[in-house]
Amino acid sequence: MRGSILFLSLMTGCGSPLFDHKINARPSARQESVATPSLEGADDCQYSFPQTTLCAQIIFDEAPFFRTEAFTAVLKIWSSDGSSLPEIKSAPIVFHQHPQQCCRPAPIHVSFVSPGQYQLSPIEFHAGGTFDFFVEIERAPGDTVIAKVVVDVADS
Amino acid sequence: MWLILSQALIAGAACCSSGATFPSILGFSDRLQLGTTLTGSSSVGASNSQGDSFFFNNEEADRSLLHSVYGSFRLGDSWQGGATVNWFTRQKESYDTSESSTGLADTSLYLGYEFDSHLILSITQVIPTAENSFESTRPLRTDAMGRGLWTTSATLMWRDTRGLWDHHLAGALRYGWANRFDRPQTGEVSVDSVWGASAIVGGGYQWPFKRIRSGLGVGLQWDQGLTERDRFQVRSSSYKMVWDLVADLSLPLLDFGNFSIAYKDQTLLGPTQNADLSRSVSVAFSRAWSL
Repeated sequence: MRGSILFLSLMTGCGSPLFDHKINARPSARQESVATPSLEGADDCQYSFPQTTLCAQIIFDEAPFFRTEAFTAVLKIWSSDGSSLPEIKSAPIVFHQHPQQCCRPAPIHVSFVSPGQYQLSPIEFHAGGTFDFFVEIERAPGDTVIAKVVVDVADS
Repeated sequence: MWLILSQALIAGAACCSSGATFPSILGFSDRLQLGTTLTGSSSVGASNSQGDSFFFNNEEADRSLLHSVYGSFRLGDSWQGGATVNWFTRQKESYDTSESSTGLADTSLYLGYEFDSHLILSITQVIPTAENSFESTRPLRTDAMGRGLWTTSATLMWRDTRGLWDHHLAGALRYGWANRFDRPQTGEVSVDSVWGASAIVGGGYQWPFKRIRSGLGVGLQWDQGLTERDRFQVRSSSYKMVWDLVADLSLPLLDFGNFSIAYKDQTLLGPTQNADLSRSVSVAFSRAWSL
């Protein structure tokens, strides 16, 4: 008996994962109440490409959250001064990372919809928290700029 | 014993197959040894960078099977060398997603020097022959079977036998060389060099009945955090730390060879940080030829 108590004390005291852990939360049901953001509602230039007037935003079809099926999203690029969008030579490159999940990017495929709008391939989130999305565009051969777009992913 | 010891002195993180590439060390009176090991692992969860552990629920799984073939031979009175080749299969499930990959894992070469019958120094070179986490293209990263870094390690091992009892102590220092990778879509990524260390202490008892030996060991693995750079950013992870508790049983098969089975558990001891936590069972068979 005394041995068992000593053993358990040692295990919990030293931070034994077996005796001090949580079970990963199951995915919640889809958040039906979340409204679909409209493309028009994202025109404030919160995320911009450095040294340009270009802005970027990633608009999900519903607020993303942790551990469920993939979310679909659209990348929108526009000019903050109202000028026409410069030609973008090729499809932007987009990838995302979670600050606490170093080195685990998942490729995101980008397809052209219309000037300044691109459909992103479905995105799964395997953690909650703040994700950094990086968007790189090529304005001319060898002339690339990168914008960082921050996306909050609910824990459940 | 040395096989078990070697496996517990795993180089690198629990996430990667480089773990079981440390080759078997020859016994003091052996000339040649060939062996094979089959290790089945099941990851039960992970510890994050704050040291909090989260276990999988019943809709998540991460299982792997590692098949190692190794050979070691005597190069001189005190020198020995060897190589290990590994084949890896990994299967993961995450809710509605299931994925598996199989392929060559990292390969390792070693050179050992015996100071006497108790003390041996070995230098191991891990060759990153596996697909790695930086170039992974699959959503659940089952194709990331290695760390992708050329890793050089030095291990000092001490062993002693007193009657039917034996005990051992070993420490390893390793250095993963900086490397560059071509990551799908995002382009070149450079990874800084990284240090790691391992230590293990253990002992065993050889039962008079059929010379069966049972052993127990405790090991600690530590790896410096990784820093990677690409054209988007510089990102660093915190250090990794995990404890191994290893129980093993070995049985000599007359003159035919040696059979052993080992159980390793990374969930019992802590603290742990930024590491996958797994339980594994290894079955090994080896045959040695004496001088």
